[in-house]
Amino acid sequence: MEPDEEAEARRVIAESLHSGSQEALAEAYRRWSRLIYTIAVRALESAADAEDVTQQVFLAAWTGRHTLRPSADALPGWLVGIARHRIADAIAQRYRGRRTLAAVADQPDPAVAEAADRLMLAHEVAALPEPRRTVLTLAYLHDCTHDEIARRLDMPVGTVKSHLARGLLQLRRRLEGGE
Amino acid sequence: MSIHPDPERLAALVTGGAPDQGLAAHLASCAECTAELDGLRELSGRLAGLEPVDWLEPPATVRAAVLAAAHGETVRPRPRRWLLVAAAAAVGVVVGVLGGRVLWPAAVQPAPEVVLATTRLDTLDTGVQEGTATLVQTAGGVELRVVTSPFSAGSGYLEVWLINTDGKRMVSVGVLSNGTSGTFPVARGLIDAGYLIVDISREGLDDKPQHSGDSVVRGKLSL
Repeated sequence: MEPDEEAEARRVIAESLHSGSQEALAEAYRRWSRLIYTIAVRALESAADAEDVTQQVFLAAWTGRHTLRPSADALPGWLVGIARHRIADAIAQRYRGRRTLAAVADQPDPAVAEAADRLMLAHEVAALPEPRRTVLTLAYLHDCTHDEIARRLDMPVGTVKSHLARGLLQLRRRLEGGE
Repeated sequence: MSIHPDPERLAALVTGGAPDQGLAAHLASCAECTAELDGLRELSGRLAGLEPVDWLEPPATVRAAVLAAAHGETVRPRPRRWLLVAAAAAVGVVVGVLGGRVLWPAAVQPAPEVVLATTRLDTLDTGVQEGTATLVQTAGGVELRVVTSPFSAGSGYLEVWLINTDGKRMVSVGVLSNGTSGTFPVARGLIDAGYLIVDISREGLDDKPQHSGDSVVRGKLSL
């Protein structure tokens, strides 16, 4: 199998964060803050609440860093998991006083979870190295045929197919830890 | 059972290829590869259901708040002296009531201090001594006491750090607010973990909580 530099980089970030590196926290923020913020904006439909959630998620990641399993595939799924709980808290806060809803606080809404999973997958596609990222984006998000992609990117059809197969495998490896 | 095929051949089946005879035969008899193929098909189905996403960037203030708070966590809070006084006062009152007279907290004798280590603080470029750092065990815990020549902090401030002897890790212990002396509570665990190098740096009033790289003086505590 081809070497996966991204997986190695993520393993280093996770290990460093686990052992208390603030630089690792900054790097995790650089890589995944847009994912977390976009999930939160869509779920809460409020930029201010989404900012709060984003801040809470990365602070919780810092204070709870000892609980992170430091592996190559752990970080994004772990952060998204924290985000789902914070979003549930934020929604419960809005309905504070209504006992029934308060009682389900901290229970992530399945619709939020599903939307978060889709965004996480889209984010992983966006994190693929070029030209693989564009090949998969055209094939899956824009429904282009292999021939169309080959023409647009000026590459042989065989190369397009190879990028699709390898990209799919890479994504599967990457998401195994996040499920 | 034949040898497992390269996973890329399984992925190629999902992304539009046709299985050759060998691969089809293997799949017919291998549950592991069939499960992997199903997993890849499921993932491909999820990818096909995606729509393009406009990623949103959180405002820079969120990043600054996260990093500042993470940085702050490593700074030990100053000891709450009023709590110690209150605790001593409570003891005094109890003793006083039992003894039939009131004892004031001033009657509580401070425990003796023990100097654990000390070091010169020298400039990095010229090696001139410009200060001293002392690690003291007090009744309230371990304190780092720093006295230096008056340094200019420029438009920023002077920050005191403990750097690990491994050269890779450091923690901020506080701000040298008057520019020449300060007392900073430190966790004993840090000292035991090898955070022994005292470093004072010039820091700008910016959004970068990490060490500026502009060290003024430095010295290593030897226990």
